[in-house]
This record gives sequence, structure tokens and C-alpha cells, in this order.
Amino acid sequence: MAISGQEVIDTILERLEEPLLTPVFWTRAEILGYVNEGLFELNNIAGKLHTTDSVVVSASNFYNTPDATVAVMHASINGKALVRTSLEALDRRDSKWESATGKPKRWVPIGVNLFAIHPRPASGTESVEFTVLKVPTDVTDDATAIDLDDEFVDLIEDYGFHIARFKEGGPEFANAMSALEDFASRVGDVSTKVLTQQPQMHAAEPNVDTGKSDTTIDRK
Amino acid sequence: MPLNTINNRTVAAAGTPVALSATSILCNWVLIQALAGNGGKIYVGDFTVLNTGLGGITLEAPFLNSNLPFQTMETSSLTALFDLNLIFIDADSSTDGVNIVYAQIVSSTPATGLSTKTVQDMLDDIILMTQENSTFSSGFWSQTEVIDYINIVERNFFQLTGSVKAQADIIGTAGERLFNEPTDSMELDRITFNDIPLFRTNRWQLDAGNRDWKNLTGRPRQFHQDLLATKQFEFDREIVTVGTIGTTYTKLPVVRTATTDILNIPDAFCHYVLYGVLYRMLNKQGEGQDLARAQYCQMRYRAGIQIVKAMMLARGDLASSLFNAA
Repeated sequence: MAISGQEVIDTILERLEEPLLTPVFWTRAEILGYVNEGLFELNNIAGKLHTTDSVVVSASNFYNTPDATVAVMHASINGKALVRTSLEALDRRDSKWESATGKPKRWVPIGVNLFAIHPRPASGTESVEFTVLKVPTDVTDDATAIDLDDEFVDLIEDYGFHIARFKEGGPEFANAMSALEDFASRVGDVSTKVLTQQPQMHAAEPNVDTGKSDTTIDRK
Repeated sequence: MPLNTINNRTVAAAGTPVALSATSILCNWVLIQALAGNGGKIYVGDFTVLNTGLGGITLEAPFLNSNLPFQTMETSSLTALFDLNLIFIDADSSTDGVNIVYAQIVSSTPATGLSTKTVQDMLDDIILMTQENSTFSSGFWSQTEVIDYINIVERNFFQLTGSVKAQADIIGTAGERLFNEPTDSMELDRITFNDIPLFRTNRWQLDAGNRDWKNLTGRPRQFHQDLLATKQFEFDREIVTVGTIGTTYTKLPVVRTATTDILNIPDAFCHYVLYGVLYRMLNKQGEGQDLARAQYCQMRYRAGIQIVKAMMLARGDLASSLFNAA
């Protein structure tokens, strides 16, 4: 992470044959906006930028996700993972699950802005630690390094270059479609890297061979 | 902030509390004053309030005993905290009532804590990409027209992705089986009665199961929205004892009119709405039409919908393949 927003904007302006300090057809701020859009798009598609956050839960089953979150990916309490499930699965498993109390074992994403826990704490509070796909930190037009692996920074450069040509329209924009195609194909590389780094996601409690899991045979 | 009034909200039968509003009205501040001609006291509280003094507070007619009207504190946040459908009154005497004044901060209410960008932010992006100026002086489009497009595309995006959810409680009154969805509901996902989930069914299945289901009473087990008026749902049984109906639903975006209004869409998805708006602008008949770029914007908007749907499954690989397919 050493490439800066300033460098990316310079490269895009060079590709557009514009002067770096006083571009004519575009402004540096405009290009910066396109670079940021590229970072958002890359992050949405590949699920690249993660951070941790926490929400204190108490007597309710339902909560808002942390601010500046794109999507919640993983939840745990004191390092112990909560099992991701769905409202429908909980409803069909136990219609009185909202009344159940105890140490939370499961969590449910509800859209991108809400989540539920089950069971809810009997008393006091618990802090649920989340790993979330975060809203990227805006790139700035200075020497600050972009929060992205260097080998993938050229993707957002391609994206910024492509979108910059949008306002020209016509053959100029059509010719810039190849830059979007490069972005789209390379973003799969980012996605692959993310997936190989992700922990295995379980559909239910991974109590293999205990007969207590939805996905294992009841051996009792 | 618009100020609204409800006059002469009365208690038909003393001892049977009524909500300040039969439907959900979210607001930031409420003032309730007993009617001058009341024969007795008014009691304000939740649905358990009774004229026996159980729960809530009491109100007397104005100027009697220097009694002041009841008012909530004003919420300092932009989120409307009070729902007139969840505030109840009872009375010592039948047909006594209250006048109500309430205030709503509607146009600036953010949909979620995930949205920070304003209408002006999106207009700025549109102006850059279409080489317009801040007054849209080309005449191809007006600012009002573009803000209308933003509202339309936000609604469409929320509907197609189901990405932004909300929850609200409704009072289930005894003797009732037909209810209105919350006013900001686009599509119901889940309903509970006293925290027990009800499963969705339809009129045909209810009829096939028991032709006399309309006369059943008791704890509801199912609900349907089949052959009903818009935004209504019906239980399979008439409620016997008052209870709480919990709803989870896809949120209907609040219509934005001012440039300072915060968009409903979470920041991470703003550019998808931007392309949806540009599609509408560039596809418009007239000198500003550019079908090639309109088609491109439509492709980007549709890809954005698929990306968000895939993201909700936590499937990055799925999202990238959909993007390529688009």
C-alpha cells in the first residue's frame, strides 16, 4: 500500500493527454471522484476491504448494523463465532425464538442495515464483534497511500480513465470500453484472492458428528 | 418542519383506549390537549392505559386547575421517534377527547445510518458527467426533473434489491383481523404477533383449509395479502386479546425534494442510482438524447442491482461473475 491518489490521478490525466496541474477538459477533483467510484465498485464486487466493529446487544433481538458498513460478513462474541442463519430458518425451527434468552449463538443479516441475534442476553449486555465489508476511505489527491494492494491499484486507474471519457460520449467513450473490460476481468482476481483468504462459512453449527447440527446426521 | 393537527380525537367508549391515529404516523414532537368540553379526565399512555388510572398520565380540560397540555420532548436527532398509532388515550366519560398537534422532520430524515450523501452530491456528479451547469441551462432537463428521476430510481433500486429493511410495531386491537402496513413499507417480509411469527399464505389456501376461516377467532397463525386493498394484510383469525404486531419490511424511500436532503440509498450503492438516473436522462426524447450512453448506463444500473443482491448472500465470486455477464 504505497501508491497514492495523486499518482493515480496523474496517470489517468496522462492517459487522457491532459496537463497534470491544470487539466482543460476535466478537473483533478472530477477525476478523483471517478477514482473513488472505482474503489467503491471494486469493493462491492470483490468484497475486498474489511474492518472490525462491535455492537452492544441487550434485551432486544434486532439491531442496526454499524455505521459505514456495506455488509456484515462475520459475527462473534469473545472470539467465539456466531452461526449465520436466516429469519425464516429461525421461525421454522422455533416459533418462540424471540423469547429465548441466553448467550447469543446465531446471527441473522436482515438487508444490509439490520441484524438479529438468537438467543438474546437474559440480563446485562454482550458485545458482538463484527467483521464488516467497510465503506472505503475516500482516496485523496495527495501523497496518502490508497487502502488497496498495489497490484490492484491499476484497476481503479482503468475505471477512472473509463468513466472520465463518459462525458465525451461518441467514439471516445466507446474506445474506453476496453478499460472497463480490463477492470471487470481483473476484479475477478481480487475476488479470488479474497475468497482464498476467507474462513470457511458454515450454513449451520459445525458440530460434526454430534447430531446437534442441522447438517449432520442425528446419531442418537 | 411541517406542523400538523388532528382535532377532536375522541374516546367512543370510556374504558376502551383508542390510538391517537388509526394508522402509523411517525413524528418528532407531539402535543396533546384535552378538549374544553370534556366531562372528565383523559389518560395518555401505551395500549394498556385505562381510565382506572392504570398506566400513563392524566390530562384535564384546559384552564381547569391550571392543567398544562401533555407534550413529548422534541427529538434532537433527525429520526422520528414517536408514532401516533402507538400512543393511546382513555377517558372518564365516553365521547371525551383531545386535540393533537405534531411535527415531522420528513424531508431530511436519513433512511439508515449508512447514508450520508445528499441530493446535491448526486446532482454534482450528474452535472459533471453530462457537461451541464448548476442551473441545467441547456434546457434538456430541469433540476426538478432530475430530482424526480432520483426518487424514481431509488424506489426501483430498493424494490429490486430489497436491501434496506425497517421494522415497526402495530397495535393489534381485539376484534380486528385486517390491518394496514406501516406507511413506509414497500413490501412485507415478516409478521409476528406477540413475537410469534405468522406464516404467509393466500386466500385460496385459507378457503381450501376451512371455508369458515373468516369466522375463526384466537391467536393468529397465518397472514395473507391476497385480494385486499393496497398495503393491507389480513390474519387467519380475528384477534381476541389486544397484542403487538411486529413487521419487518423493505423500506419505501422517503421522497426527496430539497438539494440538502440526504439520499435514502446507502453511500456504497450511490453510483448505481446515479447510472439509473443517467439512463433516464439520456434516454429522454429530445436534443439531450444519447442512446448509446443510455444503454451503457442501463447496463451499469442492472449490474449494480445484481451486485447488491449477490452481496447480501456474502458471495463475492457470484458478484464478479454477474458483473461480467451484464
